[in-house]
Amino acid sequence: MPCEKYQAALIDLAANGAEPVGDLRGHLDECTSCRSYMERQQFLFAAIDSGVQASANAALPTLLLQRFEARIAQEAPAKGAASPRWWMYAAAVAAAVIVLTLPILRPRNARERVALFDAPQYAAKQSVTGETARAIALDAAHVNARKSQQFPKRTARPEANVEPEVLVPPDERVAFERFLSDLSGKQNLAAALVKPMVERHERPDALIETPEIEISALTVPPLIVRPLEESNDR
Amino acid sequence: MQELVLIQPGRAAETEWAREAASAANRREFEERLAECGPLAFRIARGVLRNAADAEDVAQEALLRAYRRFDRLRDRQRFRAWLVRITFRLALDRARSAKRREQRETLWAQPVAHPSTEDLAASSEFQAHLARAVDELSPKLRLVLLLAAMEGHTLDEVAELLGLPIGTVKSRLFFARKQLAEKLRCHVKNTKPR
Repeated sequence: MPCEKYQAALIDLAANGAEPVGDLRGHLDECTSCRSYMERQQFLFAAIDSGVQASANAALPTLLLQRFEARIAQEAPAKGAASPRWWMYAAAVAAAVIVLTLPILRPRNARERVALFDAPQYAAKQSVTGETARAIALDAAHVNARKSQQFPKRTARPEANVEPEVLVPPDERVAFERFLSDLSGKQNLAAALVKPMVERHERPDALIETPEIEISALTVPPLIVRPLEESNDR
Repeated sequence: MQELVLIQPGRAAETEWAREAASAANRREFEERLAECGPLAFRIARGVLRNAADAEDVAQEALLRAYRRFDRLRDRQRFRAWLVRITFRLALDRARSAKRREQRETLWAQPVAHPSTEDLAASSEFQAHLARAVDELSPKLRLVLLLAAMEGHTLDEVAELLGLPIGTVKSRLFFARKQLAEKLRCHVKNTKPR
């Protein structure tokens, strides 16, 4: 066992790999147990260093870099495939599809809108009476009925039976108000529009009369062949 | 209302070309560093895991991560330090797996050349104790010990790699070795000094 006074100093000395100086050097020259302890500590640190070095400087696998280069080569196309540009193209195609399909879907809605709002307005404005007005009104009523079947919650309101609600797009609100004001001044027309719906159960399509379109005959004037005039450029 | 965007195909192709050129330059630069940094990554992983197969896996993973993020690295001079941190973290994660630990312990104990069988056995035993003692070190002390033990690494280089003052590196190395010595003192009694 080393002398207790010098034990810690001997360990630090061995850990640092320094030479003993001063009082410690003198003690080591005299005390064999401390000298032996010091040698053991130096051996211990040398063993630790060699063990750690053996672990830290292990032989490299021969194909380490080649394998990694092959992995990078695999990575490169995958990286390209996952590029955000692909999503940009996909988004552009999706946008194009939406833009192209919109005109196909739009006319149906427009037709329904015409049947809901524009047709009675047209009838009122034109002061159409008789079969045509009734047909348009019936058509509008059918569309309304279909709407109410599609959205039963809206029509299930108790007040809806008393005063029917009509959804008006913002851009058609002014026209609809004008139509209502026109309609309020023409009680007879309203009665005439409603009455046939109650009395008759015929198909509304049968009542629609479309005026025949007149197309004038196509006339082609005879061709006149004339000689070319001589130009002055020559 | 639909907005119309004017697309100039020529400019898009130019941008594409510039991006690809930058990517190729990055890759070339990375490959130039690979010959130097590949072994470093492997040795750090090997120092933590003490298993060549696991160490290679971790080194590959670390290099691959470094490659993927190489274009984001602003200071290219810090590449080695960056790779050291990535590798060390990945190696520690791997080492924490209990299954891997078992495999590592069975594959551990690479013998160091010794004259006699007795010495060899004693050394293998000592190496096993040393490995456990190193595992118990804190990551900070462990990384400094590992980097300082690598061939061709001076303490100044270790300090530069880790972005630490040289004094901190020295003190960490001192405490690491002292802690190892405390744990291994009882095992060295059976081993004769060489």
